[in-house]
Amino acid sequence: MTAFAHPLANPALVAAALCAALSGWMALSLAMARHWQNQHGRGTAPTPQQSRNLRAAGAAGLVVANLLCLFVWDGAQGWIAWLGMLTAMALAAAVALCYAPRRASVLAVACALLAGALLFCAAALHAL
Amino acid sequence: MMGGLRLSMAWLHTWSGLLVGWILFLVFAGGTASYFRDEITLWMKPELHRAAPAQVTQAAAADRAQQVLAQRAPGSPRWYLALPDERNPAVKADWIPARPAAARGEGAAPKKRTRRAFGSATIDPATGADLGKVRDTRGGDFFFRLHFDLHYMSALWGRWIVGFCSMSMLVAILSGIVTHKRIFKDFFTFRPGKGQRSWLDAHNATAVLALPYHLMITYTGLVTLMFMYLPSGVNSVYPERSAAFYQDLNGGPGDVKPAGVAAPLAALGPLVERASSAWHGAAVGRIVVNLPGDANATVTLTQQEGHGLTHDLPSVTFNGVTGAMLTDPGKQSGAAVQTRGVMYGLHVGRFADPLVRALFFLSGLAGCAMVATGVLMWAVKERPKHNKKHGMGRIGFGLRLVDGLNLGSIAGLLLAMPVFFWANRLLPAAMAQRPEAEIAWFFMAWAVAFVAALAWPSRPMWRLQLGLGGALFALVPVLNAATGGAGLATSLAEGIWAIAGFDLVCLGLGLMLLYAAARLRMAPLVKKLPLAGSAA
Amino acid sequence: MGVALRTIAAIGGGYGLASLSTQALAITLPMAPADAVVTGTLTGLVVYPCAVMWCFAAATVTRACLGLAACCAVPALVILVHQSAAVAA
Repeated sequence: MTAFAHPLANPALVAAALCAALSGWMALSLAMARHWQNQHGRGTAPTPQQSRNLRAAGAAGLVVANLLCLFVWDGAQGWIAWLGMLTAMALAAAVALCYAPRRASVLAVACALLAGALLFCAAALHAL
Repeated sequence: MMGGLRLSMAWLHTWSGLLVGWILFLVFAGGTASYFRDEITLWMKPELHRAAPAQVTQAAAADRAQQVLAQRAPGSPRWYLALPDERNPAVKADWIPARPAAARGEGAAPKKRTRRAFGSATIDPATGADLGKVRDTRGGDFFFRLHFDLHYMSALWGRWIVGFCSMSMLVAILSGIVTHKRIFKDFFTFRPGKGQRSWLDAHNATAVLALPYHLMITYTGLVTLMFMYLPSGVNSVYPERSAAFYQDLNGGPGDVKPAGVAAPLAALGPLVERASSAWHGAAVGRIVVNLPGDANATVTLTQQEGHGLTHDLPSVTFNGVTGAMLTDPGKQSGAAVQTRGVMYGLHVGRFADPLVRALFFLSGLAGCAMVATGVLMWAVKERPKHNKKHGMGRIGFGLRLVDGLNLGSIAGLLLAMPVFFWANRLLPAAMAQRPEAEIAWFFMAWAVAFVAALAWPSRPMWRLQLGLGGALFALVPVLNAATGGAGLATSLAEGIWAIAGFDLVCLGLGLMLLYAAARLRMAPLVKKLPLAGSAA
Repeated sequence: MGVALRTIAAIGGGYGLASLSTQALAITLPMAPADAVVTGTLTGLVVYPCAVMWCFAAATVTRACLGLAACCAVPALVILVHQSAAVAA
């Protein structure tokens, strides 16, 4: 890992990537009728517009994670790290949806905010 | 076949997975453990826990090792040196023992090719002292070899068996993809507590969510031994001269014949520095010295792991006497050979830094879970059919056998693994044949568990074996501290992550197994029917 | 019975097809010999599971075996042509 000089900055970036990935998976899952229903009640479903937005947000989360991974690690290891994170966070998302289905959107938003905060911290540490 | 593509592929998926599932669990478990091969070996040598050899340059470490080997292995035809890195603090030296003087002088080929044991030593890079009071153990290499050579059989047999199982697994993965039409709809779905449905969900989740990994690890696993499995390519293009093929594949100096004239070996330290600078500062990982002390000596240095994915690390060869560079350090192999190198590297994963390695480990655990849930789900699915045929609670021979195999190969293996670690600490440090003894304990524990599993495959037996395995795993940190290793208090305080990580992962695995054993205590899902005549 | 035949065809015949295609590619691909061997062998590892799946996906056992045999004929011919060309040269 060679990206930032400060010793805490890189772990912060990695944590941000993990949060972004988890947030992305949660958003993608909510775009699916089944998981939307688990949160909002039987028979409900996201409108096509909501579905599109959720999918876009989900994809954005995964892309952000990818960019952070490529930044922290050099070259090919960054891609491998990203794929590994996607796997780990997908499993985490499945567990979250199973044991806390009504909090799915809360979790998605919380992770996104956390990712942002960690990014900010990392940048601040680097600037110091 | 019957009912169309999806149905036939579902059938194929079930059988190509089930029949090799029991061996595959071993392969996945051993392989996943192998990601931390060096750390396991270090944990199993408590004498090395405190010895933090002073930091010296690689060149100095190489010079020290050269001095030691010049004394201990002067007539050896080949030395192997592994220089220190973040995962291994000492120099690891191995050498082929010198042939006895009589045979060398006559020039007659020995009548019988006896296998001579390699000499080896672990050397402190600063002082050259032999860290040899270390107990003899195979360490993590046991699990590494186990997952493709198996054990107690020739490596050739083991590799063919594992290869067959791996190809069957590849068939299972591909047919599973074709068959699972709801692969995206069911992507995140896991519904616990619903019996068969839950097993299916767990199997789907661990299989689909880590699908890129499973596909990669299975195919690249076959790639590592592909010239053995499909030799027709090599044999047709390089008939009778397969050594030339491996020469083209791997580079290196090729077969070096002794000149019979003594000549002093060039100093290794400067060669290390020159190689490193040719690679723009990248560190040297391994050194192979051919014919030290002979006029035809060569020294081949290979780059340290961690840069780039490929298994074919850059190497450079020097003349062992004059120090002249013999190979071009910038030489590139062809695209196909490089691709194979990357695939090999992806499988072995030695390029990975600690976090990426942890992600690989997690994916490997998902693979173990995938195999386990697969074989268990089959038994759960079959049970109602047997109950219908034989009456409630009774099952036929085939299903009982599968139940026993499931229990023995999953819970039994999970019991045998910590026994291996316990044997490492409880067997006397200076006993003969120590590595074999530790391994024997592993297999004895597994055999006992397996026989018990086949004799009485039942919920209480699952609880017993999972509980025992869980307890043994969870108590590993206590065992470590009590038998001379760096306990958690020390390893966490001093930041020795290799040892602390091992203790913590064992603790975590142990707690998971204990939790599983405890959950099995809950009443089975079949509702009890009210007895006639009892109060409503 | 059908299952047993398909299994034999898949395991044995599939290996034969994989081996033949590996050889055919290794001797004909216009690359450095080591690269050709590697490419051929990497491909063979993919041919095998596909052949196995064909053996079980085909509508009848006869079709499975004939299909496999037909596929084997292609690399076999390539190898024969290549060998006779080498002898003639």
